[in-house]
Amino acid sequence: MTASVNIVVAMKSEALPLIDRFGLERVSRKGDRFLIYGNDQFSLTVSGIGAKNSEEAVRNLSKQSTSTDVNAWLNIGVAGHRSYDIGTSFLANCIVDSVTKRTLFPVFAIDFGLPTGKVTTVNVVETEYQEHTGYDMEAFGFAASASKFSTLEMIHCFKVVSDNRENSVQRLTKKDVEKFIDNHVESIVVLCSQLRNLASSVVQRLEPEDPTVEFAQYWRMTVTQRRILRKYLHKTKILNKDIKVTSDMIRDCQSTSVMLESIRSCLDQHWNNL
Amino acid sequence: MYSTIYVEREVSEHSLTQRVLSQFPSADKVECERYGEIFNRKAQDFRLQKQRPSLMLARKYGNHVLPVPAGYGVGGDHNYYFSVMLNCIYDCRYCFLQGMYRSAVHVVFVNYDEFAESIRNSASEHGSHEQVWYFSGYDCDSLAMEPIIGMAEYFIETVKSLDHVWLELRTKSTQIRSLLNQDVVPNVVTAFSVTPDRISASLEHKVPRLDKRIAAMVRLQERDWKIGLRFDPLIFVRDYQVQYHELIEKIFSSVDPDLIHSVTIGTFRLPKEFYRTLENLYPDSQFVAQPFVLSNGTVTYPKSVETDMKGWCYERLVEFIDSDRIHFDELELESG
Ligand code: SF4
Repeated sequence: MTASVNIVVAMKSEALPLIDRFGLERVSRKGDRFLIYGNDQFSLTVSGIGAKNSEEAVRNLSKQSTSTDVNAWLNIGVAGHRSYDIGTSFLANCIVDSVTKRTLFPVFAIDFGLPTGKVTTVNVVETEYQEHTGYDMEAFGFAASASKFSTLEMIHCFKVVSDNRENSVQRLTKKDVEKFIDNHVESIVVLCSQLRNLASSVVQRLEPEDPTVEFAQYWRMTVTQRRILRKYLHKTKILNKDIKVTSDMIRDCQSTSVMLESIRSCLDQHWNNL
Repeated sequence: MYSTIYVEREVSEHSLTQRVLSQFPSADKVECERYGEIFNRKAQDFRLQKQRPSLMLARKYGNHVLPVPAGYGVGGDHNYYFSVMLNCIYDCRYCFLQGMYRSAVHVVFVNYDEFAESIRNSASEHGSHEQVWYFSGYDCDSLAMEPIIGMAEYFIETVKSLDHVWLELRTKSTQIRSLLNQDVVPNVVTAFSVTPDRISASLEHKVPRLDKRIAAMVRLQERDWKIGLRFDPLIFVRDYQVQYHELIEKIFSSVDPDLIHSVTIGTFRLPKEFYRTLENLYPDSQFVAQPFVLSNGTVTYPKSVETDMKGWCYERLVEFIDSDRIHFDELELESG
């Protein structure tokens, strides 16, 4: 059971400063659809350009985790903007799909200390910059897909403005893109650690191991009985009445239902001062 | 207090929207079409959001006023509730809102005028000899946000001229200035939910201390405002008799029992599904982990615990208050 941050970028040039700064090792093999890099706290995948690619890259990266892992998700990339200065960074507070007009709203459960703004995900490169919004090609696909694996407090998009009306996207080189991300790499490090802390706080709510395993050695249980036992054992632990399998217990409780009944009555003593 | 305020485009020019926004000039203002785009969407974590809730300013369409569930009330002939706000700035571990909503966003419906019209319309369906009650603390605390949203002030004005209409403002807050700033309105009851200090400290996060709430009760009584006491939910602890005895003594050492409009008594109870949500959100909570029982779809204390606590509290309370002013609240949900 771990807490980690899954980073999704569209282009290798966006990935390079992050791979370097986080010391990530390549995880994917030759021929895999998506490049994946990682260490024990972060994973990074290169999705390719476009919302569909981003959506699939998220799905693919999610397969690296077990069902008990808690992941925060971060999309990092460059974006065009009508009014923000080149090189400015911001977190998306509203992500619109320009075609369907569907909208997602990342939730700010902690103060990331970063400016925020709207992002519109387009499917052809934006050159008009009609609205006061950041224009990218991945955020909506990324966030919609990530929301199937995590909650919206842990899904964010960090954008660096790379082009606007005066500075055409057509003139943007891979080196420029790398530089834009590199200039913000320290903010990204802080953001990733904040996101990881959020994910860790959720991990702490989950029980590290299944306490019914030992009981299952002595009593045959249906799925429902095991679920009930797990709940009872959790309650006994929280209420400081931890119950261990003892030889008396094995002798006295000759069936699963008797064993469950005996734990329930132990729990019910909670009310017994009346 | 708020760093993100969502605003439905439709109400962005509304005077209350403007008034609220002006109080948070540095908040991030995010426009949306309908509050449902954010509020209660899937993939949200109520507990994480509760650390730093956002505000949503929206318009409520329809169902502005609804009949209360059976068993709720303080003896009125007809009982309704209305919710201009969803969710609460406080964080009580037993609160049913945690189980009811996926989001902790504070939603404020700014179209008070439509709520007021529904109050007037529904009240006019009943004869002037009948008492018609409107409860505002169902999905929120009625007064906690008063300096920001002026809800009580607005609806007191609404019911002022409706003689057979009563308004209950249920609260754990001390935000009574809007009441003190005006002449008393006799058909308004500010109903304070109370729990012993030690229980409050462990379960009612961010709620003002009992002393301060008692001081607020006293100030209201001094100005002839009617107040109520809500011992709801009663919370079981091993020494509940000691703790509730201290609570009752403390209240009546300052508050005049003869001037109490009504008292209600009810124990902790939650619909089963809400309780399951609470178990997942707060598996580390000793309160939530208690071995409650399931009775008719409601998770609550064993009958013997419930009967003993209610009976014991009733016996203490009748020492101060006539029995006809004490009501047993059998509603399945509680807030305020
Ligand atoms: S119980 Fe009442 S005061 Fe407490 S969080 Fe719920 S609505 Fe707010």
